[in-house]
Amino acid sequence: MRTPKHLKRALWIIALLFVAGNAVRLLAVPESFGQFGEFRGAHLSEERERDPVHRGSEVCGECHDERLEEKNNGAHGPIPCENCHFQPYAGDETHPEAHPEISQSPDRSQRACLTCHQYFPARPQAFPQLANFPEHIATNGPKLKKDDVGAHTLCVHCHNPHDPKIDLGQNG
Amino acid sequence: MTYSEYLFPNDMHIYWSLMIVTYPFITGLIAGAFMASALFHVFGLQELKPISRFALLVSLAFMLCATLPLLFHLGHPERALNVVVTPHWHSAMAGFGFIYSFYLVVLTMEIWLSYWEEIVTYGRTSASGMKKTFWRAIALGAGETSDDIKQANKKAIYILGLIGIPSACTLHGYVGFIFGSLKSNPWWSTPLMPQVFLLSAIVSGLALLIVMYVALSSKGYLTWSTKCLKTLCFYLWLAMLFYMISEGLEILFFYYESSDAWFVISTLLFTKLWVSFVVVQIGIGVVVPFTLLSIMLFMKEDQGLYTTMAVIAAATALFEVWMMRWNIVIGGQQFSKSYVGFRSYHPEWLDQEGILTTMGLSLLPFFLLYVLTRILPMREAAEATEEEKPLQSGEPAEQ
Amino acid sequence: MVVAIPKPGWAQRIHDIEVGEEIPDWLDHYWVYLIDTTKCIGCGACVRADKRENGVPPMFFRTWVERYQITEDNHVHVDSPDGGYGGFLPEDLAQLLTSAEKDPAGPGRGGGKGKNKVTKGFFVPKMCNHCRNTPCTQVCPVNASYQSPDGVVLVDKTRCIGCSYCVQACPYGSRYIHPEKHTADKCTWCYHRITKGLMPACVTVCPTGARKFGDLKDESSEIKKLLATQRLNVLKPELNTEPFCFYIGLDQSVR
Repeated sequence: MRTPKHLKRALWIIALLFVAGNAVRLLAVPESFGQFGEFRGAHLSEERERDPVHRGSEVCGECHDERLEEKNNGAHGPIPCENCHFQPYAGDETHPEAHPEISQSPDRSQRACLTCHQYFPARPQAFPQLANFPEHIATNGPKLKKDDVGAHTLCVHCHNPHDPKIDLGQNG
Repeated sequence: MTYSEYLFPNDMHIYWSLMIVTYPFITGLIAGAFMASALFHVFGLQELKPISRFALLVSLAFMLCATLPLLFHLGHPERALNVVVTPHWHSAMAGFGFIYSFYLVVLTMEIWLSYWEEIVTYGRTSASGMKKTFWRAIALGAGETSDDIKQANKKAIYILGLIGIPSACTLHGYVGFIFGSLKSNPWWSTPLMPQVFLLSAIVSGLALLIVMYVALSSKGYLTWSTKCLKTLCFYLWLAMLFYMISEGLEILFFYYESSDAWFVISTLLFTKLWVSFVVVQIGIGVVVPFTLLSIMLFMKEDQGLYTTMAVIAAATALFEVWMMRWNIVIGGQQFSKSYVGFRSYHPEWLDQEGILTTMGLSLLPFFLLYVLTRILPMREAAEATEEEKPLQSGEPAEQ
Repeated sequence: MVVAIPKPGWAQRIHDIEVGEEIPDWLDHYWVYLIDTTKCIGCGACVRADKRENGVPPMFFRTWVERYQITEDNHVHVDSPDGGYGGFLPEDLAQLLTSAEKDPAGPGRGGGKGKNKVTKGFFVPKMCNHCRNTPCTQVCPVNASYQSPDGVVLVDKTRCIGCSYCVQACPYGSRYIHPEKHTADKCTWCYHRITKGLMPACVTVCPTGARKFGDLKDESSEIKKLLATQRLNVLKPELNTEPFCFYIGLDQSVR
């Protein structure tokens, strides 16, 4: 039997919609799509062009060369300056142009040191850690001839953060 | 080795929300309603003639709303068309745009051809000039009918029904695939998931039709036939049977294989999902309707009691399917990928993906269905041997 | 008291990236990551550095550190307070500073007495594993998430629609949806740094060398030697995602 007119017209309209739809679709595909795989190729360059935030200790050494050398020769050598001197949510006017987040006045509290050096059973045994804070103060305070030390004493009272290891000599 | 409770730090949020519960529910109704109509148009079950066209309208009303839950869910709904512009063929979700469009065309054509006689008549006999033009445009300017045309239409409807069955199945089945193919989530990961989704879709479609059929025929909008009701109830029973077997097998295998995720699944089932899954979904949603439907297999369909039992069974089955979507989507996110931590979902009332939005999106298809039935009559097509005359049954065309 | 005397032109040098050579062509590299859990001290410097470097929002993590403590009764205590952002110190230090007990705040409280004594403990840093058989890029419907030719899994935020499918697909919990950008986000191995000859931020700040990163196409790289000689493991190997973050000393209790 002959295909009725309305069915023919319907099929033509569907075919037209299909072609037109695909044409619009193909026009909307971004230019660099498929360049290196099934993704928008330009994104790789966009991602690469972002500026790094952490610049490394050498940059600090541009001005603070003596301090950097002191740190590099000490036990805290592997630690970048930014670890302690980065103040994430506060600005510092001493470094306005380069990095407003970097501070010459980092956190000096016991928390700053104990974050790494507090004893935890999960920490590797070989890593220097402190289990008994009162004992540490009571034993070593007098040896370093420091009076008036106790639970409130800051680690930096005795330890230089840029060269923290203290050699107590033969009786240490 | 026992564990303290621990969730991965990024696992504190439930991302697939009420919208993702609503979306498969809607596509399930689309597929289920279409199956009911296909039982008549393709498999020739004459008993289902009273709802044959109405089921298509139901399918369309829900079809028009199907994208909305997804758009409400997306972080960037304005980029939603990216799924068709740069689809990733390995991703089941990318198929959505194409499957949806394809099925929409099939469904619309089938409705168009099923109502051809009415379209031609309205084009000739409508009251105002504007309405005449409207109907003639719908008829694509070829608004005529004859025995040959009726034959051709019938054949086309048959073919469309035949194509429509796998399309509707894919439209809903791919959702099951999305969940079932994720090896990262043990509650979802099973090859049985597409079947479970599809069978529950058929359950929901048939259940909705039963409830609406009883309600609308009691008001005279649809032709009442106890044989139609009985057939619907039989297929609902059959679908529920296969659904129960699939879901039951799924859980049995989880239990028997006892793989590393069995700890989290069993804890989930006995704690977080005890009420929503075991008590509500299975206890109320499966046991009640399946028992009723099984009893009804042996009852005579021309009793008032039969109709009452049918409505109760259908309503609880419909509710069960919604709970099943909830228990799978939300349930599967109520534990962390660590498999030793659990979290809760607290939907907000006024959230973009919240309770009020869900209610609105659930009611919208019924409103659209109402609008559709103002344009096209709900009733089944008149007998082919009747002469052409303005149909008096159903709603007259009003725009 | 130190007085710093700036050298001329310091501001300009700080703004330029001194790599000493041209920006390398990324097709010449194939990146890999190695974590030595026997060295990690759980200080959280990596988590802090990552947040700064990549603007990671609070409550979400591109990298995090987990602590495992297994007690005598074979019970595993796992925790990751705020992902390890503030280290693992408790809120109130007073107890630690005044107590003579070895681990007053831990599960082995009571100074190691009884069955709650911790017999084994370690830290496990985690991040996106940049798998070779990624389940996440497989499911992205719009090709917004992909693997670069040099082996890094990235998310194109201009094309991501925020459907969260990748977040569901990742078995490691590495991904999240950015609360303001509404797109998927995750560790990128600091792609903007490694393509300029720098290390990822987390590797740069790690004080013990637990985190290592390198280029498999570089014959002389330390990481290549380590990968060839050390006993390695990956997270959830049974899922066959083929992670490219390798671990030394990964215990069977790690989730």
